[in-house]
Amino acid sequence: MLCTFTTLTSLELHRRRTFFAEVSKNLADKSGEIIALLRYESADVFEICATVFRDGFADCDYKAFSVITSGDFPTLWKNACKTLPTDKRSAAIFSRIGKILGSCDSESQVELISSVKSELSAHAAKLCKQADDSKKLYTTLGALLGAAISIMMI
Amino acid sequence: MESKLTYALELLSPSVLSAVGRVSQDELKAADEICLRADRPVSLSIVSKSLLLDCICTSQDIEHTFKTACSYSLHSHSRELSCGYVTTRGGNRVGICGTAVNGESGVEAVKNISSLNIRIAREIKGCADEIVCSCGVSGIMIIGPPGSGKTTVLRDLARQLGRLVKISVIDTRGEIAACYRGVPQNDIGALTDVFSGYPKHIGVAAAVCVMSPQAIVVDEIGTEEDGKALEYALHSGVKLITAVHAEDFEEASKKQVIKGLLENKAFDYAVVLKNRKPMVTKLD
Repeated sequence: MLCTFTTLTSLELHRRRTFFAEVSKNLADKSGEIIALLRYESADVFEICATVFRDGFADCDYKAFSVITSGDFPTLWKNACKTLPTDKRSAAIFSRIGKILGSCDSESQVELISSVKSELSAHAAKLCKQADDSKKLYTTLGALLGAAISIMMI
Repeated sequence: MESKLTYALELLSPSVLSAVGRVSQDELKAADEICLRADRPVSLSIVSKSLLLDCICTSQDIEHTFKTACSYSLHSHSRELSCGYVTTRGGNRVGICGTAVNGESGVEAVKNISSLNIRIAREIKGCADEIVCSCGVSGIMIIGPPGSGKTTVLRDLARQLGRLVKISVIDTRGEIAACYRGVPQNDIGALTDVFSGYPKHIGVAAAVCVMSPQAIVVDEIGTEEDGKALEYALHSGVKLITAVHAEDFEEASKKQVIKGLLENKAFDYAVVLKNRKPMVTKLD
């Protein structure tokens, strides 16, 4: 039973890592949507938040972003990024958009956000690879840890 | 008006808002403009008089109002910024004074903003009653000097005629309908469509092609291109309602564009605004 528990915990940790990678990938997609809205609609930052973050992704509802309707945008964006259910690195990359969005002409914004998108995509791919590579390790370590604790208890 | 004032107050920083809040309600309701000048007192314009408030405006206050007026999105307002204003919620207009950033196409942006003037929008419903009664849906030319109320009359004409027939408003500078995120902030009639931000000649051509209006309302025509577009609309069976900067009909008819339109019998009536009173004349 102990072995099963530690294995499940270990798998949950692995699932969490995979989820972080998926959210990171979704953030790269969101960056793409922001670029499209800037390029074709010249939408303002509040319209962008309302449109891009209208729909959530898996357990991530992006509510902190979709409620940004007025106020000090860079601060609100920064605070919203703190609520993202992903790893620190992805959140830090995505939070850079808050400093760029709305602060200059569309072309420069598109250029800068494109680099954020590429960085997020690369990071998401890295996270995915790491998660895939470590799946066996997590399962084995979980079972072994359970077995070790059982032996020690006996 | 009160909601338009509320929208104007939402643009202010907390310190300026608190100073404005100390002004009596009557004075505040009568205010036409709120003016912010860096390192100088905030002022209210009340019926052409200025009331200085006990609050020195800082550059941070100006920055706050500027960013709020632009919805923190300079790119969405680049065309307006190059013209020196931003239309905000409620149809209020924030005039921007600073140093011009010149580019190939003229002024491209404004930097080092030193003053902001929040002009609180006003709608005077019923100011075109006499014109609607006398002219109905026909070709109308509103003539008057700057500040005579031509745009206010055009707006009320659009509102009243837009209840009867399909009207297209070409609102190049956002003064007639004052669209904010696509929604007209002024009452411009149930059957009225707005082409906001379009150059006049392009807006007129687009309106004729896609909205099949019975009349087109366009503010202050001036260029040859505008005249050609209006002639095209005229020959498509659309009535023209427009405003012209001039003291009287004689002065207006000397303008090349108006001359051409008069020759094409574009207008059935000329309305001269004198002391904000319309004087309607039927043209032959």
